[in-house]
Amino acid sequence: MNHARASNVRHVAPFAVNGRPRLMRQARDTLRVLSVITRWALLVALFGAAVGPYALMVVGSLQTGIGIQVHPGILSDAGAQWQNYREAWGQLQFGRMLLVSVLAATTITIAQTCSATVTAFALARARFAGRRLAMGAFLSSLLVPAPLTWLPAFAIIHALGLVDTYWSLVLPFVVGPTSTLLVFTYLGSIPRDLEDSAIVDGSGAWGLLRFVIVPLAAPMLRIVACLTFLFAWSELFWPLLVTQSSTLRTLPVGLTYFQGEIDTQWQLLMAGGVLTTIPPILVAGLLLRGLARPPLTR
Amino acid sequence: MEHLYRFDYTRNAWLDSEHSTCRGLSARPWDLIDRCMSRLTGMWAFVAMAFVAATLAASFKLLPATAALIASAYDAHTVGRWGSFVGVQNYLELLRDEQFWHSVEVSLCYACGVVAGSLAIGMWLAAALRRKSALADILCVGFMLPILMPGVVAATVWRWLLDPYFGEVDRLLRPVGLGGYAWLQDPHLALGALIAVGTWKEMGLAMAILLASLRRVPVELEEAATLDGGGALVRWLHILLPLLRPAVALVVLTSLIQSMETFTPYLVLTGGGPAGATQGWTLDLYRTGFETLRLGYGSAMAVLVGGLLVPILALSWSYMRRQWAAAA
Repeated sequence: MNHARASNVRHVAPFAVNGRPRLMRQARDTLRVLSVITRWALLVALFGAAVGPYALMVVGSLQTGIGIQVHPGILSDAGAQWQNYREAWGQLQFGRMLLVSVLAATTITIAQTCSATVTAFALARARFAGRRLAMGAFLSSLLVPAPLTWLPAFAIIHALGLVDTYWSLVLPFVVGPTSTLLVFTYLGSIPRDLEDSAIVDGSGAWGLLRFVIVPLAAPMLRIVACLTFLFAWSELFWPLLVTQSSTLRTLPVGLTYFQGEIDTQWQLLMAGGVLTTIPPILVAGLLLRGLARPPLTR
Repeated sequence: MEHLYRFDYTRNAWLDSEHSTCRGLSARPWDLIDRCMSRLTGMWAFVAMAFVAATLAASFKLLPATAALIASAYDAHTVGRWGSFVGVQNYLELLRDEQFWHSVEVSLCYACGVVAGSLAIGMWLAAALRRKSALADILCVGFMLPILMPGVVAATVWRWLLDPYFGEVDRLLRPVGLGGYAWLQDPHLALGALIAVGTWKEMGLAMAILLASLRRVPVELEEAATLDGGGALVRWLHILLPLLRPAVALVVLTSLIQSMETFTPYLVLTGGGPAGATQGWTLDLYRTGFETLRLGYGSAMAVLVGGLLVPILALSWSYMRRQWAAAA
């Protein structure tokens, strides 16, 4: 509305409005329109680049073996090949790998989140002998780069006689210094008044943790659980290292192995990829739903 | 505590221990669990668990780090044996090892490329999606999706997309005149392709962190600058970028660490090939340690590059804490 009136005014006064010649103003308007158009074009292109591989993976998983080589992006006339999933399931021993992956990732997630909550609670709220020592252990663990621990951690698992067992997949990740520190920092930002009033009402340590700390820290706990699950689910190096038997393969390890074995059957690999990608999306959606703002602003 | 939180729905009144209708067993199992736990555990139990957790963290982080330091002075060839003491021999050999230095170079190139790419794209996206709207939210979710795809799946999908014969990327780039390249098989292009895939995966996280920080900037500051006649450039250079500096530092440091420690793309996308052109230091470490079983030598590699990462990790944590203090 304003804009229209402004152009009428321009018509009346052809030389200058706001002390600028008309031509320059028009050029500036054109430039602005162009920049908006480029911005949106770029946004759409980037969005396509971000989501495109997902869409192509899904389409590719429904292709025939020939179709995926001729026109990967479009479904062939043969229609959606849902049997790819059944074939991938059988050929990749998918059920077994899914079971191992789900078990390991769930155990790690639950154990790490619980241990982080309890440890952070004790470190943030209790005063006890050796608190500085325990804090020091966690803080200095944060400074250790993962590759530095690879060889000796394997030696430790080997010494414990756990190589090629389920526990070797889980044990090193039961305690996560990063998760612990995240919860610890979050507890630092929660006011103690609620806990004080709970103590006045006769609450013990369990009551504090269960009815005050956990509900208040729930957003952070959800984020920690989500991050831990994503990490545990997609971890490739450690399972590749400590397991040899095919019954203990996690999904990432299995997909890596089968790259070499069924190299030409991309449609099966894509079906495996789709099945491997669904759980993290589900878990992230379930855990992060309701956390309207992105993690670091909470 | 439990009498505070147990509510008798039949009498519409709070239960307390004197007037409780069900003294022994409560109706709901989790009430029973709470009751048992509050009887059995005190703060001492949580303190004990904290010590157990600290011990575990120490035994899978600090102990291995120390062991790697020690093992780098031995020529271990079997897991569980130190072998004979060789002093700084491993390090001296490492200094002359061209393959190792090449792999470090590859990793540094990859890390710098991914950090620069994801920071640039993430910053631009954060600026473009700054204003809150339903569309911005949808786009945000779309840009975050690559993070959720497990690394191995992402590598597999991209290996297929970048295939020189039937890959979709080749098909898309042919009209632009970039067709016919074997992105992952050409020694000159492979690392670039790896960086592109890494950027694709990391840009969403960079965007999220920067966007969160950008949306916290008070509007008044920019309004004041606009009133004083400042254009977009002035606003960005003198207001937004200085305020975003901690977030930028956080993005740079965390993704630098991430991409220096990454292993999956080297193994799955190219397998270190062609002719070692994309063998990052983690893959080199894996092959030295677990394929040729030179454990002492591998430890020396880990100590040398890991030592570089420690200050970056320390810096990133200090920025993380500062970011937290600002958010809380």
